[in-house]
Amino acid sequence: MTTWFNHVVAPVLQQHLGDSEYINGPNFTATDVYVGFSLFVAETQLGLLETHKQLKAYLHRLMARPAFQAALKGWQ
Amino acid sequence: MATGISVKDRRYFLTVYNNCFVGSDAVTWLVQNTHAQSRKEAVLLGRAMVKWGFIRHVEGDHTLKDMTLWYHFTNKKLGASAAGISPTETASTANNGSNSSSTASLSSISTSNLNTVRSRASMVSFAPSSSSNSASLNNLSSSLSMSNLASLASMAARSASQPIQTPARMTPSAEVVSSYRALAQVGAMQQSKSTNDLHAAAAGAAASASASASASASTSTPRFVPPVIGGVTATSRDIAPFLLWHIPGSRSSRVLWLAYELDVAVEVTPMKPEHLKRPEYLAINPNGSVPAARHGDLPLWEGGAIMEYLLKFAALDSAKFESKSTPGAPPSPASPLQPPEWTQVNWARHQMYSYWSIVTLDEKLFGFGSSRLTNSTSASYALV
Repeated sequence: MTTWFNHVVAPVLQQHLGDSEYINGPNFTATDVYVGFSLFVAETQLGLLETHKQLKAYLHRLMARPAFQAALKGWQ
Repeated sequence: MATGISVKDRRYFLTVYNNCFVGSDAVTWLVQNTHAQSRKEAVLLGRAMVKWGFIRHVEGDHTLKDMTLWYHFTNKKLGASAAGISPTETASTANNGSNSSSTASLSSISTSNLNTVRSRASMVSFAPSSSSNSASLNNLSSSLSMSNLASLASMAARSASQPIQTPARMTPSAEVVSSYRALAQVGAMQQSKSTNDLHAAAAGAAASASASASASASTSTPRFVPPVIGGVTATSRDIAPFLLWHIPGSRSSRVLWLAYELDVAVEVTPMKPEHLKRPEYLAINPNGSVPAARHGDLPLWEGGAIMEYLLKFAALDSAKFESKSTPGAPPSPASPLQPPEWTQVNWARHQMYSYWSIVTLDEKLFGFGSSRLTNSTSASYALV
């Protein structure tokens, strides 16, 4: 799982993310919801984001959103 | 070409095919002799040769493919081909006469045929109004399918050492935007009770300018317009709450998160994992999984499908949508959520999901397939 994430998933996400705020550019889109929850599980339950600072920062941007906090109350 | 590749008799079980060659050999030869710059381009060229009857699969089953499939050279003459031959005609005239021809004549015919294919390709793409060739060109263009034209145009662009002309890429976002607009108009017309027939409304909304004028007038009211997707009427849904069965912290959180982002009013039924296989929940979602949702009379399963439904639902909310939709223009960057872009990114993924739901339904690949999934699953996917 860790190898798969580090070598397959993370590079693709990094490439899509680039330097932008969200995955489709500067604006929040529904893709961020889809991807963001997977990253949230990867971080909180599997701890896979330790070596991916950019993805972690991206996840924290998502987690700061009020809708995220309302939907996942008590799970952060 | 016939001299460059191995043409010989080949046996497939009990059937012997005379003087045939292997498709991948032909592709290799076309690339090595710089008739094509890549194997992909060589396959396109070979397909054109099959289409015009210069080569033929031994059973006529395949166009040229970069595979171990066997092909004959036909003995099609140049004079006949220059007059513009329709694919049906070539199919009827294609035969195995090459078996008796000598290799040398085959070589000359097929090489010059190759050039003919190329020159015709460039004529089609670059000189469609040339008066000297207009008669044959008319024949030719009527005999070509659009896909062939496109591939030939790109091939001819390369062979004429001109910059590669990629066909103008479709702009899915603009298309999606316009389809959303059409749907919104249908919904608005339904709302204003201007017609009872939704299909007629759809046609009218797409065609008439007066419909769009009345729609934009009535869509100024900031309320949800009932989604009319896939021809399903949804009169009860514009007042119905959006029900969601949700296990906190599970993957159904995605749906809840998106609903909050979109400001859709959700009634959440909290679940526990041990509730999933209980009969009362299986009545709601026979897959026994979260998320499941219900909007009016419409059951929805699978997170991706529900999210897509929510996005369409929100996009049909004209107050949010009208401000950012100009026909042909990309969505404004200021819009908070951009369903068209999301659709582009995730469409392939959802195609995959719907593919499997259909396969397990209809073909019973797996033992549990037909019993686990019912028609409502595919109905959900048909909607999104």
